Amino acid sequence: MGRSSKDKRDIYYRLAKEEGWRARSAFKLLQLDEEYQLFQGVHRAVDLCAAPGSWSQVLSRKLRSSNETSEVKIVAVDLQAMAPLPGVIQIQGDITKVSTAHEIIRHFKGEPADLVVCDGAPDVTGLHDIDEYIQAQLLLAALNITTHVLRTGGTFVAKIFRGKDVTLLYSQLKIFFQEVTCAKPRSSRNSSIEAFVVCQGYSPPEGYKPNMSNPLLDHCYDVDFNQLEGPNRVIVPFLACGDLSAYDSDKTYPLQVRPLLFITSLSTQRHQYENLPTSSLQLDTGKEYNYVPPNQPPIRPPYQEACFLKKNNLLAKERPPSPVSTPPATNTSEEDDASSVCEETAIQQLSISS
Amino acid sequence: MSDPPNEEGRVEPRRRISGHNGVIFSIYHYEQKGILASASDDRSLRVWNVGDLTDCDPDVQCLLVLYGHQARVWSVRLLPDVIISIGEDSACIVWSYTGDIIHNFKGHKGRGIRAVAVQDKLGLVATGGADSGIRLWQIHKTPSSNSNLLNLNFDASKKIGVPKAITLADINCLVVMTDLGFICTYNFITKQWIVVLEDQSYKSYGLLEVTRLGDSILCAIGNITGSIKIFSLSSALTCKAFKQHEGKVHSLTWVTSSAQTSSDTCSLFSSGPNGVIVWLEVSCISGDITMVTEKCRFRLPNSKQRWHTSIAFVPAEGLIVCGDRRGSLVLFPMEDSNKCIKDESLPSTNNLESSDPDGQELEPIHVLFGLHGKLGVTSVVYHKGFVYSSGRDGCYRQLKLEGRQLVILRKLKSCKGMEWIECVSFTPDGDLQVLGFHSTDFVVWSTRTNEKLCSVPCGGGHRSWSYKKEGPMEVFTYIKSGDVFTHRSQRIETIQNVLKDSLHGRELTSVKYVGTIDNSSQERLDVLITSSEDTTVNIWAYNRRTKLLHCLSTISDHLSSVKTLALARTKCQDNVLSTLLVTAGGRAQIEGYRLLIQDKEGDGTGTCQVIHIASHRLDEHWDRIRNKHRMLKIDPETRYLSVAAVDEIPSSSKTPSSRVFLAAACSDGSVRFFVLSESSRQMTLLAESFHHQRCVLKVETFVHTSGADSRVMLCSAATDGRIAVWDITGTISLADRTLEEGQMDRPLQDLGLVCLTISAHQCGINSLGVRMTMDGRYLVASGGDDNSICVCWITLDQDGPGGGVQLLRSVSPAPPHSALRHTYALPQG
Ligand SMILES: C[S@@+](CC[C@H](N)C(=O)[O-])C[C@H]1O[C@@H](n2cnc3c(N)ncnc32)[C@H](O)[C@@H]1O
Repeated sequence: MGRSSKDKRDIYYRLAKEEGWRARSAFKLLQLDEEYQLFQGVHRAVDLCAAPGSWSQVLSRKLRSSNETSEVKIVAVDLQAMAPLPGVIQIQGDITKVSTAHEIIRHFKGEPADLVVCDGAPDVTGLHDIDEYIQAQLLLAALNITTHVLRTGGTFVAKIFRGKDVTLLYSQLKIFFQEVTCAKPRSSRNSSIEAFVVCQGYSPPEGYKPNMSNPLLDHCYDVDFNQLEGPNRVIVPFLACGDLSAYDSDKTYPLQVRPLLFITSLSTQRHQYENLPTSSLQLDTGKEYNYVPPNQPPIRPPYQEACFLKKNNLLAKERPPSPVSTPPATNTSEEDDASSVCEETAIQQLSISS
Repeated sequence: MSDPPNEEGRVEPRRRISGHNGVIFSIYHYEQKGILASASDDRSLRVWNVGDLTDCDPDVQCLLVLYGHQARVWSVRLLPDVIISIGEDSACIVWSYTGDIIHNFKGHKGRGIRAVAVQDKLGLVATGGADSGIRLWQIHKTPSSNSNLLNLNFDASKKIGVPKAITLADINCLVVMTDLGFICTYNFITKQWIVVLEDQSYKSYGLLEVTRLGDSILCAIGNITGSIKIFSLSSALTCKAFKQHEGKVHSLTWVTSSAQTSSDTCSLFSSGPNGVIVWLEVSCISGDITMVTEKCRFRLPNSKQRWHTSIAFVPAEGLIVCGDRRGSLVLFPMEDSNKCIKDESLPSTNNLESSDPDGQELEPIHVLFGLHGKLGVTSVVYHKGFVYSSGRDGCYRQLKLEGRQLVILRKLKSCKGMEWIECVSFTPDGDLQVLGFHSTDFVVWSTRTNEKLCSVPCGGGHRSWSYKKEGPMEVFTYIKSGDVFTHRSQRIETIQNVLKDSLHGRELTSVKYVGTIDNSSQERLDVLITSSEDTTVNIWAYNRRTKLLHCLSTISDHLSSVKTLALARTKCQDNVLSTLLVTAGGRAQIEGYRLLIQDKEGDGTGTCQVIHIASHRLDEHWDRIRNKHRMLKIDPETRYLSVAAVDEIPSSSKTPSSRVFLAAACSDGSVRFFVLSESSRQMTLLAESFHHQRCVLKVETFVHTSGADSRVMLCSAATDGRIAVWDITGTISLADRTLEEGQMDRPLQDLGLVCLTISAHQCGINSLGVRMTMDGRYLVASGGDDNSICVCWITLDQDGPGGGVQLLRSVSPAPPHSALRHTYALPQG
């Protein structure tokens, strides 16, 4: 079982490996695009928090297939190192820093971007309030950097955790975009609080000057936006995207089932696909299941050395006490007639401390 | 005295310290020593020589790099003699300044230790876990001062042979038997070896068992020809010897128990060929064996390796429980047969008395054959009305006696990976301890605190070993490559180390309220059950007066996370709260239990008896029927996300109250229907339907009665936002009929008719509730992952289309803002 169990539990994980995506998140962007045609007319795109790079892969494939050639430019940013991808310019940097914004602009030779996407997520601590807060801060950082690089009318897509303060974020996004919706791709698990904000029609407030430590974004958390009534109340529509015949990310599919390649199922085979009951289409029992290893293992993760030490049994351990020898036994039996019967061999009386 | 800012208005750092390969989560500065410690994502902690911080010397040396945690290190503290770190691996490690681990405190469950506080003077560390528990630990500055490993250098005295069997008479006295037939003792205080006895006929094969009786230490030895000798260590001269069996003595067991008539008698059980067990009663007064009486003979059920391994008396019932090498538990009557009394004037020396050859053996009155697997039972004990057994199957079990039969209540495991259980025993204060080998260590595991009380790296499973604890002293001794090794240590137990019980190691998935009981002192206890991703289910009593939550029992039979709970047949009688609990979750596993909760002792905490009724695993189910019906092997990674019981029994149905029907929402896109039968202790899959084609998230049942007619209805909800309403009345009555006819193994039924589907949400339905309204209609409320609540009213008309189930109205109020996790349909009023 072992390594195949994730394949059973998560069809998108398996699909991603079989189709050569570096992460299953690729399908989220594909499904968002299906709903919003995100890539139409896009030449310059920024992928914030891009590692290991599956969104960059999607951007690269989608933008290059719709645009003739040359003018496409994709810049990917992440704190972590990322394996090179042809046609994608990489910046290893922090999206909360102004220098990163400058670097992006430099790559676009002063031209603004048409699309900024951000799939950023902090390392989860498991404390939900803190995770939601950090995620919100990361989204604000992404929005801030976006105000530096996005053209008017451009699109911004970012991951959001739908926690209890989500309305505050919506209200902040509404200041900068004509249309804000909350979308959940079918490949994003039902069991996760993750969703995506799709912000279209960038139009910053008049006279707004981008600034990396912008107080405009630093709304105070005291105002309870959830409680606002009437016209002040911010309502962001919700949309589940990816059509119903798409794979269900929460469903467990048998391994003997051979998934259809997603790219083809999205375009050419779409109509046939919809007419068939999902299960019969997927059952291809003639095909043996083959385990496919992940495409992109993490590059130099922080735990690398610790894992190396563990593997070689070099982690510090509670030290077992080392044996101390007692002096050789001294007063054992001196009797030589080992053949004597039982009653005669009770040699010494012994008082045992009790 | 801060530094002046630079042109940009920022203060320049004076010194930069770098070296970690990941984010630093915390630092700790110890001014007196001029050192700084850091804890990091790279799973190490480092100690830096920073000197006087006001100094501008940029040279900072790294003094120590400590790798020992198995996950991220959250925090670190520096004390005069030790370093303390806590991490995501739930370990609190005490390090010396030489970089050695002095202690590795484990006990918190799940996802790590979050907080730490230290009290250096008292040597105390308090830790707060992500499991919401708080524990207090005692630091001992050096490990070697209170524990050591001794090699007794046995082979130095070659004439008496190589040790074959050892046992501790008490913490200071070790008894050894050698392959040359010598019995000798070693005193840990005087450090002296003394040969007590020698007998050639015990060469190469010999059994040795020792027990304490009052002030005397009694030894019994048995050999290959069926002879047994019994003697007291203080006067081995007056040894009693018999030819007890027709061949090899396979096992010997001393039992001292309240069953004995007087405090100077105890029992010795020996197994010989053909499954014959002889029960001798031995009296010993101030070191002299005064009488040996044969009480009875028993015969074990037939098997290849037919001898006992363990014995316990159940005096209240007049029974003896015996565990055997075949893995069976066998019940014998404690017959006080005068006829068995043997000649009292046994020869004290010289001739071996053979036992009465035509003594009749008593047959077992009840056998649980092979309960602990082929490798045998390792121990049995009787404690406060329950029998506990352990075995080589890596499990221990709780049983009770009912009508002179053994009934299994639960099967339990100790700490993860401890597959080699040697025995279970109770401490005087009632903690059940499991002794055994965990990989290469000997371990004493406390089931009360869930921690290793003692762990000795001895190399793993030894044939002959012995463990004794008296006061704080504990001794573990074993034979390894012809030598005797002894590990002695002092355990300090002055403080209660669990200050606050943990709730669960990972996220909670479900909570159920069972009911409330009153105890004799007028205290009210609310009983709750929680399930968690940490694979366990906990049963809690909340005392309304003390406001304390107390864990009554933990169920850890699940292999994967427990996702859902259901209760049925809950009732409270004579202040005993009784309910049927169903738990389900990952790996398509579903378990059924009967719980009996009461506060007998009136101490305000209560007790919960857990009786495991039955379990079902889809992979086992498919394995069983695969040969019969050739079919595709179905994936066992299916998760059960919700279960609902049909609790109300319609008056028109034939369902007995010991039978409960269950519906399960399955991640493979199906709704499955089971029956749990308490009387036959079985859980059977009856029906399934793949109607939804999507991961099913929720199920609910309700019974609709109009006039004399009752209909059992089922609602199921899936990730596509649809709710299906089913009529399962027919499925249930068909099942009742076939169950009455006793056909358990029949092909799966289809779940029946979907009467109605409601497209309630855009995506997954996280909660579902059904209530009957005043006008006899049903309100179906659901909460979705699309941030909306949907409320529908349905009617059930006998003759309408679709089984008469109709959707009347459906409303979705304005969306709230965050994803909905739970909604409940509240009763009207
Ligand atoms: C879920 S992953 C992105 C996956 C990616 N979209 C893909 O499809 O391969 C989130 C990433 O956010 C990055 N990240 C978190 N905080 C960041 C920050 N402040 N600046 C840049 N990247 C950051 C992490 O390093 C991580 O690689």
